[in-house]
Amino acid sequence: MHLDINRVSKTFRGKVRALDDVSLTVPGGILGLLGANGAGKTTLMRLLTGLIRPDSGRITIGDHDMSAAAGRLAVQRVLGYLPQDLGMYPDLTARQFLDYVALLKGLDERPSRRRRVGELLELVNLADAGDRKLRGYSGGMRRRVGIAQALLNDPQLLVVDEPTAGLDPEERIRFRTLLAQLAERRTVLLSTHIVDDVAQTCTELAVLGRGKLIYRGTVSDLTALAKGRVWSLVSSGPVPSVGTVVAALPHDGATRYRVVAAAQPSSDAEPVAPTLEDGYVALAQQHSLTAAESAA
Amino acid sequence: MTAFAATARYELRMQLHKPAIWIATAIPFGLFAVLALMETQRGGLERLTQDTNAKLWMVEAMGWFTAPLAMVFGMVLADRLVRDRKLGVAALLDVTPTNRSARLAGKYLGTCAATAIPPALIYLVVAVAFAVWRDKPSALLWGAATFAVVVLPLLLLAGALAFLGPQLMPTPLFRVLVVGLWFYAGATEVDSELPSPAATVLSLTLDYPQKVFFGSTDASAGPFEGAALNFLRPQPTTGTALLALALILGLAAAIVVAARALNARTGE
Repeated sequence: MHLDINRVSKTFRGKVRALDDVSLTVPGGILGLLGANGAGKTTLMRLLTGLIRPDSGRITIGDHDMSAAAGRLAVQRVLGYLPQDLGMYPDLTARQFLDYVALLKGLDERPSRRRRVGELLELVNLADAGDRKLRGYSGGMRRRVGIAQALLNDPQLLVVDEPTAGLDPEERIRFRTLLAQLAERRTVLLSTHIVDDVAQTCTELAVLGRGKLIYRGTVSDLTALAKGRVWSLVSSGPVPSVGTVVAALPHDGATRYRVVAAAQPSSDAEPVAPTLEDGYVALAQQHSLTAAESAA
Repeated sequence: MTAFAATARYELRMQLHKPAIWIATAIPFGLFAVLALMETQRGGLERLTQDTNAKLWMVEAMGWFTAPLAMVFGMVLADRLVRDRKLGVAALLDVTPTNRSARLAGKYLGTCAATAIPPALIYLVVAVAFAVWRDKPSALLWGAATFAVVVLPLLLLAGALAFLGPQLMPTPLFRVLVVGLWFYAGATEVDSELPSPAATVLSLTLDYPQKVFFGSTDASAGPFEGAALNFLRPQPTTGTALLALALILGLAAAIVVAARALNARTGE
């Protein structure tokens, strides 16, 4: 399903400009959307689901114009959405909650609805806990119910906002695999601030910074952006003040730092191969989005 | 199944599983039952023990409970609409391909129906007890009729207020105000210095229908010499009783529409 976001802006009450003239095209497959907290990712997700409307600009999904009520309704019929702030009714069981959402998504026929709910509970590994009330669920279990509800209508467009928050490492890996499988025949938008989630599931990504689109391209190109800017150094002194420290590990009574900086931070710093996270930090530095760069 | 029916069904189920609606309903009924028993043993409430008119008995028995019931309704329904946003469920439901007004109507009627069940059951027990005690099976019919004509409109109005109020103020404050409102509207006397809706066509205890349709002697309806707001106290007739019912139901509908509009605005 083709997505076309054309010069979209959104300002909230209190004059907070959440999105500023953002244009983005997604031809299909999976697209990672990275950005710091407050970068505008959730606003973009909510615009794509029809929950809010842009102040200006146009969003087209498939053949549907999201500025028209009929267009929003048509998109919502084929949409799966996992919001960042996921809530559920604590007095319902997971099975009842999924049944309720399935009814609202138009799965009217009881036997097929029950079958679908059962399949999804299996898929998210909650079949045994499906008849327990949601009030007793852990954060990770609730997240898995959230994933299940997003898939109820076998959506053509899947919008997932911070989907792995609260999942343990095993669940996170399972979910990434599932997302990659789902993207084989759907459009998936994965919004996250966890760079590793994007690195493991996406080949294409977009980066938002302070409401603006600051990158659109491949994961490998963004990684390459940090080439020659990633350094490893060992120090027992203070934290390096040049660039951005992206990792710090204890090392023989001192600390080994991984630093992203345009220039060699110290004479003993050695260049190392960049990762996507380094590329993301280098991009943020270019756009003056990191604290280190702002202070410099 | 439509969005309306699905929402009504699940809201009814969730509300019925809420212990608060059973406890909150049982408390005023229990309190009144104990007081009535004590009074009867002291020789009071002669009419209650001697009256064999099923219609009168049922409407007057219900008259004692309407004011506290309205408060119970207002309090237990107060969190129903705002909780979707508080729980974070609203975004999930709002992206389903459904009509928001249909979902709100389903939520409203589903929660109101669930809230009506505990008092309906208690009232049924009262009707059965009277029917057996006085050998008057018609008490069951009169019980159902008085419940439908007096309690249900009251519940719909309380439910509507409970959908609107907590969007304008914190829920605990709304709960306090709803108690105050019903004390003011139901307990103030007609001849008190404070203008009161008591005995008017806007009486929140539906005195006109109680008096006209069921002959209640406890209900006050009609002009009161020297009282303020007498223009709202026409002679009690079938027409004015129907008008009173229409006003309460119309007011409830208008408040639900306002709640829907406000909910749509805050949802953005």
